[in-house]
Amino acid sequence: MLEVTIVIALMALLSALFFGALNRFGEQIQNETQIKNELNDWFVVRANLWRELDEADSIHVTNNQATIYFGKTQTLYKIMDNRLIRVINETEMDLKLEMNAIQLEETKGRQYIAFKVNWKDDEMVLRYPVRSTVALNVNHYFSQRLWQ
Amino acid sequence: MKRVPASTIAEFVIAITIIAICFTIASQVFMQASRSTIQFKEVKEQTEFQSLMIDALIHDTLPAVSDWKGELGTMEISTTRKDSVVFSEINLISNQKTTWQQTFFSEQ
Repeated sequence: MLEVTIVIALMALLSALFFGALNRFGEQIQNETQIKNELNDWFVVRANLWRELDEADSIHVTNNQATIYFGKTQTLYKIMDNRLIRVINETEMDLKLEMNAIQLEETKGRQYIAFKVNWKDDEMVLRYPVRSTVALNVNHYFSQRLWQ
Repeated sequence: MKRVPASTIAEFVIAITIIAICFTIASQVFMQASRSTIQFKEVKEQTEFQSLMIDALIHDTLPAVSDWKGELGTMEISTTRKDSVVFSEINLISNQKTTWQQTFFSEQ
């Protein structure tokens, strides 16, 4: 009788362990999907930012706002309620990203535009060097006679 | 006293299998849970490494190893020459695995 009780108790324990683990595994898969979505959201924002910053004719940064000028279009990145918002043609898009600051920084005599993201209670910085404007490039080209 | 017959080999195998499944699932859950924290850190470092590479590209200067402040990986720079071209390979290495490789070249 004792042996039967032990076996039943062990079976019950194993079943509890098995279904507990299965349940936890389900939760973990849900978490994993959420993490993947969160990372993908960031990858989209990051890829767009690199491209727009690289293509820009000029960039103007003021009060946690960055305006990127490219041809006749201008794209504005601003922080609203600690979230990053992208504005293009008066259409606002919430980029689902917690942002601490958009500012100009100077390191070793070079200027950078820093997008400071609140990344899981840590700060992640996407830093892009400020390049000279088109006008300066043209002036430099002619003053240095670079065509010769 | 009535004696309960001992388990057959099949029952024993079934029991061991169930235990093994439980342990496998539990270890998977544990691994996934600890991996998610690392994933966020890796993406943070990747972004900062990209910033460094863009800076190098725009200013046309190679970064110094001391410029890299990441915690998960180390940066290694190797330079090779081939004819009049100098290739500079920048590797981000984490756990003896190359997680990012960037090559710049310049003519001399």
